[in-house]
Amino acid sequence: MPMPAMTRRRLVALVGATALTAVTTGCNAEGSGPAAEYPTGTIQIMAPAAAGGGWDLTARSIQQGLTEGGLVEETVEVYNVEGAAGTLGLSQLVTKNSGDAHQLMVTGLVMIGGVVTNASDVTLEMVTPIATLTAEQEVVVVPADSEYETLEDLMAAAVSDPESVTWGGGSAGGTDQILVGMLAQAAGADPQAMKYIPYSGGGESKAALLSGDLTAAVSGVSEYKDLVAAGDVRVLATSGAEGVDAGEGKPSPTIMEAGFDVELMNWRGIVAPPGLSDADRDAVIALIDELHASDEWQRILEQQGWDDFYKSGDDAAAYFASENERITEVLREIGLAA
Amino acid sequence: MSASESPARPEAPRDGAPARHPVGPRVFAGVLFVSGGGLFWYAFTESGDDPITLDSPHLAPLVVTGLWTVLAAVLLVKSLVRPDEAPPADPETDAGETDPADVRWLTPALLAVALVGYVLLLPTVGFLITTTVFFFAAAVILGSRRWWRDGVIAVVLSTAVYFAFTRLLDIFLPSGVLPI
Amino acid sequence: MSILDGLLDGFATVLSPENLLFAAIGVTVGTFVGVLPGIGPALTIALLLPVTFSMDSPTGAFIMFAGIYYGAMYGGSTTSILLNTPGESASVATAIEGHQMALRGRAKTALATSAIGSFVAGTLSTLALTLFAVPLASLAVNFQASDYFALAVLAMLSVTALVGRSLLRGLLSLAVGLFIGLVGLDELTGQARFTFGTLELFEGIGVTLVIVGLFAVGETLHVAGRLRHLPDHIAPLDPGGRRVGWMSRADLSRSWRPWLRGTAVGFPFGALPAGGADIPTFLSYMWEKRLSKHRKEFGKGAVEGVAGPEAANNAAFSGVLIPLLTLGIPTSATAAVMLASFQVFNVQPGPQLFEKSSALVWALIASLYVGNVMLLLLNLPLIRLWVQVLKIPRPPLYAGILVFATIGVYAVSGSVFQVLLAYGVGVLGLFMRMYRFPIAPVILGAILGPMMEIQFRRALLISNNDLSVFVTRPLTVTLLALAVVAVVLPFLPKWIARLRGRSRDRLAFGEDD
Repeated sequence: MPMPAMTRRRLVALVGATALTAVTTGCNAEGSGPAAEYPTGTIQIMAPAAAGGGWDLTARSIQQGLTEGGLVEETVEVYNVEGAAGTLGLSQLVTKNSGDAHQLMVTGLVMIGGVVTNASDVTLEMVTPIATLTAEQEVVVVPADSEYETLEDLMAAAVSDPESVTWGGGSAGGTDQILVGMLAQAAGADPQAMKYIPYSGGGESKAALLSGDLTAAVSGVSEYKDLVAAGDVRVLATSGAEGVDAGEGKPSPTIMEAGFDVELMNWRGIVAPPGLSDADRDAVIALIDELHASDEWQRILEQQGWDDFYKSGDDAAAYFASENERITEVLREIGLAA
Repeated sequence: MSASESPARPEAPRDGAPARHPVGPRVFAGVLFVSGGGLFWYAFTESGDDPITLDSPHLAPLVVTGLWTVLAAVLLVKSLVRPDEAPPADPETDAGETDPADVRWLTPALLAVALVGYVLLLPTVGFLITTTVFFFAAAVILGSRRWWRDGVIAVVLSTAVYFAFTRLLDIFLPSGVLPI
Repeated sequence: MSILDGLLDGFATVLSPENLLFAAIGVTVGTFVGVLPGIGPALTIALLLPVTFSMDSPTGAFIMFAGIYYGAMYGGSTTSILLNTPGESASVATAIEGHQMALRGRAKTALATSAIGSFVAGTLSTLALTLFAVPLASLAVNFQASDYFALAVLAMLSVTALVGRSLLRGLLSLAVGLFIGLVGLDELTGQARFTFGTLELFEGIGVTLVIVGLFAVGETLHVAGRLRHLPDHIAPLDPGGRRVGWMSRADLSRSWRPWLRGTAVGFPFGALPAGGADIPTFLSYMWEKRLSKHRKEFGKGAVEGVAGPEAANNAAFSGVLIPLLTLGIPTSATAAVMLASFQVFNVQPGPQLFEKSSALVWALIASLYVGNVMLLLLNLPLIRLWVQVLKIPRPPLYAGILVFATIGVYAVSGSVFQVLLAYGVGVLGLFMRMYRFPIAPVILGAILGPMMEIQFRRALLISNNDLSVFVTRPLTVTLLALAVVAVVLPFLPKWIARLRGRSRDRLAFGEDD
């Protein structure tokens, strides 16, 4: 019977944890100490979306990194709160879990869009930033037989006759549409005039690009790698600071190199509830720093094909704030935010 | 919409002729008509001042709720004018032919109450306790009188599911007040 | 990759011990839930969805799901024959003749012709799927928004034309389903529709939730209201205690043609976007009745009346996989939850599926062959075991279904609101069942409605609001013309019109022309 044994073990752990909490609180009162005692109980990581999506996978990977990498002995649980591009999960973290360092939430660029387009009262500025973890570049592709050879060609057409270029990508207000809006801005066109058709999921927009419905499609680099490699679609540009291999076997040109001042990373990160003590905040950041440095995490990154995009502590806070500002601005120009 | 409907609908009158005219179908048709109309009105207000063009997101809601309301109105009129024309049996659902008037509403009503209590308490009280209690209660409501058997199944099922989900499958279930 | 290479690779994947285990689990669970009255394959897959989240590769999960789908059909016919409670409308035809056979002491023959017929049809139709899926997928690459819209119209109209006995009730069910599909943020503009100011409704009402609500909660509440009326007499396998054989030579010679004809009807109807298994099973039943030399036996236990519809039922499943895999269009409740589970693993069914996830698809197809063999072995020799399953007492069974429905929704969404929403859908389902509204149109409306609307508006946006896009593309025009045919067709020949006949009694016992 493994079950009673397990319960007993957990009981012991719980009693121990309570004792430890008392000690930690004592230490913190003196304002000293690298908060090495964190965690003192079960860590719960919220994936603010239904199970199975990108945030869910990130949360479960963090869980795996923490436990199988041997960084924590306590249980790490992942739970899902689905709804409204993550804003439901966000508001739950802010209202229910304030001050609790054992409650963490996965977040990302998409949540900023969600907060803006859903006109949510609770924003990403209210939480305690911990770190950004991964990022994926966006890619702009056209069918192999397209008349547009470069991003400049495409943007020239989109500027002179917006109706002639049909853009496609992910959901309304998501990363893909944000990138199209930014491109229009940089090219001197009206972002609101861009003809952007949202699709649910990358697969659907892929089918639409190949069937001839779309002039150009925007998506995460990994989504189109196969089709690029097979020669069915052509990469015009990727959205990061440095070119990555989008399937051509060599780094593709960036949007910057094509002459448009646009850089966009679809990043994911982790945050804690508001109201954390400085010591708690430092302890959580220290743990995630440790996670990032671990072999297990590097192995996960490789296995999932994620690009490392690590900023923690104050760097992360500054990045969250600047992203929040510029994304909100773009969405306003597209006409998706009040 | 449907959640607010009370399952405890009055039983059909059983005295003489009206027994052949169960009131339930007419009430249901009425409820469908009213809710369809309400939703149509909601869709109308939701569209605000936007013009209703073919590519507008407000067209489909108006069409669907409009269709709903009209169909429900026809059904309501039919059930009022010719109440004894019973709806034809549907093999999909009617294995044992039951006269709607012969249904006991108390059992489903109690089950519905038990369900709502179950899920409301689930996050705070925890999976193990609520599931054990709910399973037992549901079995009793459904007419079981074998207390011991159901009690044992309730405990074994909830414990097995809890540990299988949380330990083997990494699916979160609330532990609630129990120190597990 | 050629079809043969793909299929061989698929077999190599499936025949690994791990995947064989998944297949075995799938067919066993499937048969189990198929035998249990009130639980169908759609509900089972919906409830098992959370269990697959921790699986590393989707292949095992899909092999298991396909096994569940097939297994539930085998199990469902057992219940129809022995207990006369068809679990889904596609088993109704089997129940008519099969139960009559069982009452006359020929239960084992009915079970045998149904199991072997399912095996024959399953294998032949999987062969057809193997041959046609890739060519159809390469055709589907050219489908544009206007074509998808026309397909959705075709599907919707054919479903509506055959919704069942009461057109009015069927259309109302459809309207309710269409409404459910509208709730949430509009996919194209991001505007809220029917969200009533709740953030919880922004992502809409998932098909899985609707299925759990209607099939688990609604069904249980419905049963709860009439527990005393449930049939509980199980027809004996060996009447009078003496052992009887499975099939005589005469039974076999009366069965094999219906098996083949059933397959021929089932597969294409399943493959149509208006698919599902209900229509082909009834068509097969009518067909067998017309052709049979023993027409007088129909209604009193004719073996052809079991063999044909059962074959059609299983053949339709492989057919349903064609629009699901090549176009991403689910045409039945089970296909809809399978689509949802594909998306959980970030696999998008559609024209690219055979290129991008060829290993997965071929493994899935190969598992259908394997699963059919397993099911034949599992069902006939072990029939006594499944009869025991029929004896599980109802109160704990339905209490358990409610528990799994609740945690199924809660574990995926983490939201009490979503669970309450599922209960609400269940209460609606209770009243709909009570007052004899068909349930299937609700689900089809919720699936096809959004597709029809979104593709219509997409096509308009892409063409810069030029309506002529719907009449200038040959493919679109062809599909729309087919849709018109689908509406008119049932009114032409009398025997198809009888499908929409007034009552099951007439279908079963009426004097046929």
